[in-house]
Amino acid sequence: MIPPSDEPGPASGLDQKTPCAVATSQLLTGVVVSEGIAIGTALVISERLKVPRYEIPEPEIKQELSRFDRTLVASREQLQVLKQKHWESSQTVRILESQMLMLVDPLFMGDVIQRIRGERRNAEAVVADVTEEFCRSFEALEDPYMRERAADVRDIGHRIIRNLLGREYPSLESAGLGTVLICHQLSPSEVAHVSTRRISGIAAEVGGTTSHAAILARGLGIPALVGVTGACSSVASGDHVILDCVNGRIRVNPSHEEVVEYSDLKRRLIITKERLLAAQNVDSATQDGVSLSFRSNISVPAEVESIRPFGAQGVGLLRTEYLYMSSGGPPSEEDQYEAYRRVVEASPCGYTIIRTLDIGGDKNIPYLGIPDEKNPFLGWRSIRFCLDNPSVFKTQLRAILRAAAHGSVKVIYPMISSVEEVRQANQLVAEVRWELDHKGISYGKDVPIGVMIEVPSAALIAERLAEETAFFSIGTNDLIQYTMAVDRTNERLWSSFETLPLSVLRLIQMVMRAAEARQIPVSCCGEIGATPAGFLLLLGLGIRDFSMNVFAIPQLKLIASRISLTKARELVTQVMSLSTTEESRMLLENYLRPILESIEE
Amino acid sequence: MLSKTAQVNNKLGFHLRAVSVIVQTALKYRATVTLAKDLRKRNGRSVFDLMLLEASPGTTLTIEVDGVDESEAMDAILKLFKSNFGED
Repeated sequence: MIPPSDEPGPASGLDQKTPCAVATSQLLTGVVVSEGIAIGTALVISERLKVPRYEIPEPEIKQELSRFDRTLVASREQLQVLKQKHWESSQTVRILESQMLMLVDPLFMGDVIQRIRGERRNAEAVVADVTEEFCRSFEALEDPYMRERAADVRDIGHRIIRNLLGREYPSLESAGLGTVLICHQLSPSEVAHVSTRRISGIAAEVGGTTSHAAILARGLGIPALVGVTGACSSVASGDHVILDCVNGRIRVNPSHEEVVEYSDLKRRLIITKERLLAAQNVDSATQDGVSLSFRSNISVPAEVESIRPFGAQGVGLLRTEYLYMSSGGPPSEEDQYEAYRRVVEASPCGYTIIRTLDIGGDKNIPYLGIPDEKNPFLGWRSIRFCLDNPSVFKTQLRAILRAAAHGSVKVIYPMISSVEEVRQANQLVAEVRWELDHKGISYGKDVPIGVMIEVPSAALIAERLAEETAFFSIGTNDLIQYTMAVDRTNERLWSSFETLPLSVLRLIQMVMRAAEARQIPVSCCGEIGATPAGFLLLLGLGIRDFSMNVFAIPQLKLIASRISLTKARELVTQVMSLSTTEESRMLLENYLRPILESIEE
Repeated sequence: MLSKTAQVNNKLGFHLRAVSVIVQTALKYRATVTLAKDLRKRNGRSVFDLMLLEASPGTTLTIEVDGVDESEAMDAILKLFKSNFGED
């Protein structure tokens, strides 16, 4: 279970009140990865298949074998249909093609056939046993990527068993409107089967903000929880559920009073959201006329299509990890180029900032072979990994530069802590440019390259970094984590960082001065910037370009129009004269409360 | 029967994608295809068997092809190794 990284899962910042009816229903809790409230009927799609076990009399063996054979054919047809449905995603197609090969695997299927015959047992039981044995073989392998393939074996085994039992895949085509999907972890097959229109919410037992479930939900703009322990066993298909992705809980079979109360909260949420959306065209400027820009952080290329209604000017941070996480190997240059180009072309206006691969820390990708480390956040991650794997890095750079031929693009390096790293990375960019020139491949010639300021050392040498790069973007989450020496996945510690501590404010001030001296732009793409108090402080410190979860933008635009830069600067001075975070939180809260109330009315 | 050796040179070795490409190719021929890094021969038509081979980058494998169209099949398989299974 991973708390949001530099991304506010639920960031509307609306001041919701928890319904206070006496709870009579069963309550489960989880981590909100996409905000909202869904009230509907549960569909549990990771429920355990009950595998019947019985003997097959000798004369019926032949029949049993042909039943198994027909099932393989049917399974293959299903995969074929899914492949056509997902033709746009080359990665999904590849996964499905591999699964089709598994269906004709002589070892696996040969074993099943032999054992149906030899042990005279029903096909379901034999398939279940063989699946488990193969899974164990994979789980015993050394390579962590290979161990994870056990999930693929299980996925294909389940498909066969389902078909033997005549149990349809819970294709959500047949699900009623307003279905709340409950799953353990969405498998590739399950993701492929999801029919998006009918799902009103998702809850998964495991997974973080980058899990398939979370990405899917955010892409669809539907509420989602992850880390809901025991969801699949506590909820049954057909149960009425309230998925409360404001407070991070699920109520199973709620009382009438609870339904009424949550319906009311849901209605108020929708009304507020609509009001906020209506503000999408409000000029982004402060009360005293300083113009601001708001862009969206996105994780999946498809998200770009939904940012316009929220008033985002463009994409201020395209995370590229998802491309690497959603397949069994690094994405090819072509796949990446297509994905980046799609974002660049669909971006409403202005430039797109593409962040180079930022893996490690809480985002591991098995096949890259990053060993388990004692302190992954201080480990071989992000730009450090890329500089040590120039071919992986250069493939990405080539794809980005080529995509830049289709629109305005900026590139940003994550996790920079020294000038050496910037120079090394720039050297690789120069090589890629030379190679593209040499081969006569078209690419964007004037792509500005910037660095993320998210390690204190980068802030401390900002004036040197400013000589090497075209812009800065401040990643507040990591900057807080590394400055305070607090692991942001440690919920006990992290929850107290709702606002910027004095130490971090000072670092940001240094960065702003360094950037001003060299006349380079600074933006902020951290979670804190999406909270009213964080936004206010960053504004006062001199930030004009903000990038954040798209849902937070309408509200911040309204807040911006009700405060002046003069006041924001004054508040920064006041806050920086205080000694504790609690004192500054109180000060900011007192100032912001009436403004937030005026927006909600 | 033909027997040749080839080295695994793609970045990730025999992960799902490379293995799928080999199996897809092996399925096009009538000849049987086996791959081995030690005494145990692995079935060239089995995704699972080839993945369990655990051929990491740098591993040298013995490829054996047996059947009427064995030389075409061998050529096709060797070509895959040379092209790093179509990866970058």
